[in-house]
Amino acid sequence: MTEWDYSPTVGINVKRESVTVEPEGLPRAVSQQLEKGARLALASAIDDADQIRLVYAFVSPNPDLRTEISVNLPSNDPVITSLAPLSFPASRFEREFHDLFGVKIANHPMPRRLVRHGHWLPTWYPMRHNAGVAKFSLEDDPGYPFVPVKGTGIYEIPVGPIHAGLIEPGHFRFYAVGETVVKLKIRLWFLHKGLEKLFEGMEPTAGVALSEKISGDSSIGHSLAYVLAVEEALGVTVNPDVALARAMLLELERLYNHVADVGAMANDVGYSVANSHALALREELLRINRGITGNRLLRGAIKIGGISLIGDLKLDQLRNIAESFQELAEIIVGNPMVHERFSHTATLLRADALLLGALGPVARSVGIATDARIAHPFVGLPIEAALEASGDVMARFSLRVKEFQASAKLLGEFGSILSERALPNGTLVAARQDSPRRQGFGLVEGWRGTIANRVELDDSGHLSRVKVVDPSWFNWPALPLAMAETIVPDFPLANKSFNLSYSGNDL
Amino acid sequence: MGLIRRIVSLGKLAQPQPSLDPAREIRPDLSSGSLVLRHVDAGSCNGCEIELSACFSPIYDLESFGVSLTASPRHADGLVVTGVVTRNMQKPLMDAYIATPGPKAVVALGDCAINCNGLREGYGVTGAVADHLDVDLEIPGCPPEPAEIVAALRRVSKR
Ligand code: SF4
Repeated sequence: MTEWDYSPTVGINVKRESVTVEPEGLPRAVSQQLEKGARLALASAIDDADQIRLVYAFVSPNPDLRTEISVNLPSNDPVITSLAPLSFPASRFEREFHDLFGVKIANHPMPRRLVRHGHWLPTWYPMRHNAGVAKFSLEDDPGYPFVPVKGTGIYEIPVGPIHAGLIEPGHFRFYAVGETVVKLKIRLWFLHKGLEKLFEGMEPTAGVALSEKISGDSSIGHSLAYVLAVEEALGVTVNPDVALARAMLLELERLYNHVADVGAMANDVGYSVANSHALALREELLRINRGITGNRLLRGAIKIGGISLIGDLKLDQLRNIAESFQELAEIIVGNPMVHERFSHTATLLRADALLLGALGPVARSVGIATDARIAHPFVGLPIEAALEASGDVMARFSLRVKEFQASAKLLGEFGSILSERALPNGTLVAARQDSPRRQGFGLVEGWRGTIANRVELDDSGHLSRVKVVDPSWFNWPALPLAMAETIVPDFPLANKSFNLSYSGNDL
Repeated sequence: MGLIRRIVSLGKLAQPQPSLDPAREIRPDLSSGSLVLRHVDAGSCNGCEIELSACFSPIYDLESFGVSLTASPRHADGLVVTGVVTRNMQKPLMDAYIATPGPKAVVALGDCAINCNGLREGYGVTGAVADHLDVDLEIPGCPPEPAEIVAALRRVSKR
């Protein structure tokens, strides 16, 4: 067993800065951040009654620096100039500001609706405090204004929102010539429930269960990002053993999801027997989860200020699973047909991934070393970002295999912490009235990439605003780019190799 | 090790399931022995999908009890619906229901589908499945475990 000092306190090395700028000064402040190499991790609008406040959270690694840039806009006429020339992710956050808060975006190059579906009344901004009851009219849905693609032999294939398989809903519109995709347009937000607003007014402890429902396959990732944000807002630091145990649960979540993806990719090229083997391995992992936390999706384990565990991780069982998984992965890529279908399929270019701010395995499979466990650790662990370079389905497959093994190794070294019965079981801190900040920001490397969560508390200690950003939010625009020049029948495979969250994106 | 050797060395993975109590069978008007379902995620967190897919793993082998999923509602005996019904999924859900030939069954899978599971007040939520369709079978849990899903669906497949 490797000796390793994990650093003792959550966020101890984090440097935080915040500035408020005038709306005219925003582009300059943002370009300064981008020039320094910082990444826009989250942008949140907040309705302060008399004003609409926009907060842009930039993060950069080494040292772990988190800078918030705020602008205040009059609530009766909130207008900003689009940051689209500077940042593509910012331009999408702006469309969200518009649809949910009614912020007008001047000079936006693509001012079409994003979150809003056609049957919402266009002037109803649901995240405003005075939004009132939901205003929808199913009869008057004009449909989405898809930009038509014209040319000889181009035809259109509309798919969804309900898909052929057992997956989440979304609408895909392919424009193809013969079998080759010329353009793909993706319409999401079919699952939009208004989750962020449901947090408002809740006790922070009650928000944990809600955060587990953001994306069920990332129950740990999302609840942990939320809890880290709340703990920062409350000025709570947790015991280092708790931080380590949380990190181990995050790795368990990565294991069962990566094994499922590896099987599903094999399935999508017709190798269903391999998928059956992967599902059998996933079942073992889900049962391990249940043994440790009482829930197969690891729910109920993350608590504010602590962790709640009921059983042990059996290290030899985990080792056997890792060996069996390796054998299965080799069987899958050893099949020449699979190899042929995976290679050079749905290739994402590194330059595109950088421009979009892609995260997680999607970014790492084009050689971008982004990993919040390294850049923004809440506990120090010996982690190296696994990387692939080719950006095709094969790269995303191989990357998951590597990451599975790296996670299994970490669990082998540190997983015994989960057997530690003396871990504090989430005692919520009393003196929250004098909590120093009332705002917090959590970053967690979930299995899909970096999850961000930003929390604000009101004077009574209740949640007044929670903003969630799943990595899928950044990665969805990458999928159509990877599909260019790919044939339509390879779409399920390409989509599976990205495996982005609909629920976590739609909220 | 090759695939064949792996299969041989692992042996049969299917776990025995308890026998079906005929008194608990429902929907006698639907055919006996098979149940083909169209899955609709109407607002799920994707957790129920994980457990539904686990039912089709070799461990639970739901297909051996006559239950299978189909791509088209026109080939289905009914719908298995997960999640709350969002405003944006209300119409697609109803379209899928209408496209399913009768007689048809509706299964509400998971607490969200049954009672909204704390999400009812979301401005994008219209309610639970029963607020839109007559539900024949509820499978509670967040998410329900595969063995529970298998036992429940066998009441409809009668196998
Ligand atoms: S019942 Fe639970 S697991 Fe199923 S969709 Fe709802 S929150 Fe997710």
